Amino acid sequence: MIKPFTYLAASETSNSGDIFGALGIDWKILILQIISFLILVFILGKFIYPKLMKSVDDRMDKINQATVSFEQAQTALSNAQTEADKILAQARKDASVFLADAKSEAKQLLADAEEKAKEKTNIIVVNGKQELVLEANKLREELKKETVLLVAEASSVLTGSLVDSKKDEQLIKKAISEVK
Amino acid sequence: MSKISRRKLADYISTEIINNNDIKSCLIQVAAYLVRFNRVNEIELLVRDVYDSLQNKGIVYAQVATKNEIPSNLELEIEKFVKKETNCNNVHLEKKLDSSILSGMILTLPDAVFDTTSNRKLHLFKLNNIR
Repeated sequence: MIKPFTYLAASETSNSGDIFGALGIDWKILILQIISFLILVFILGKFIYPKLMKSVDDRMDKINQATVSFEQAQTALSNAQTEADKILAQARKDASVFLADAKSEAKQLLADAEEKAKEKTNIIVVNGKQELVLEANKLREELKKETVLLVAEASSVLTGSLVDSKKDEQLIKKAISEVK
Repeated sequence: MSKISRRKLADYISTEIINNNDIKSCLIQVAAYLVRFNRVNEIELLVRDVYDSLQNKGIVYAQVATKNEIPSNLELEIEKFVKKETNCNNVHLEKKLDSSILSGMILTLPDAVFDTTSNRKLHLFKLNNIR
């Protein structure tokens, strides 16, 4: 479309001979070109440019939104990271406290168990000693009883064999005098 | 017939004994009385009461148990001892031999028993040493 106009302008300039002609510019063609340019501008501004600008604006909005979202996400991520670090630190702290508590509790339990075991052992030992003492006393009593019975038996045998009538008489006399 | 007390019966028998009356018929009378009034189970107590009654009247029936025969001097000594203990002048000593006695004597009076035997001493020894 432009090529025929240019060709037309060049052919007209050579004929007119004025300034526009000297410069190779045909004002009619120029006006036409201006008009067609304006029409083009008008058409572009009326139909194409708004759509294009709208599309660009939408794209910009989307990009802006995406940027905002990204920033928000970045912030959220950072916050989450900070929170996670905080939770992790708290968890480590808690874990160390729990561990210390558990160790302390385990020590206490161990000490208690040892104490109980000692007490039980002491009780068993004391009971055993008491039982031994009781058993020894019982045996001692049994022995004493047996000894007494043996002594009594031996005494009765000896008395029966050793005491004759004369000795018996003396014993009776002595008993009477003791009663007196 | 009213009930006669055991003490009165004992007093009656002891009087008969002291007076040297017919003791056999006296005892038959008392026995019949006891049977008649169903008091036969009181005989043991009546005998003791008779001994008590005799002792109250100055006569003591004592029993002495020994392993061997008692010589006369020892018998006299025992009688003397009984007289002193009971304040009675008339002592009848019944001697008895007991082979279970090891040594010593058991003198039984109406109201007391003197046990000086070794058997008793051994028995006491056992009692004191065996709980």
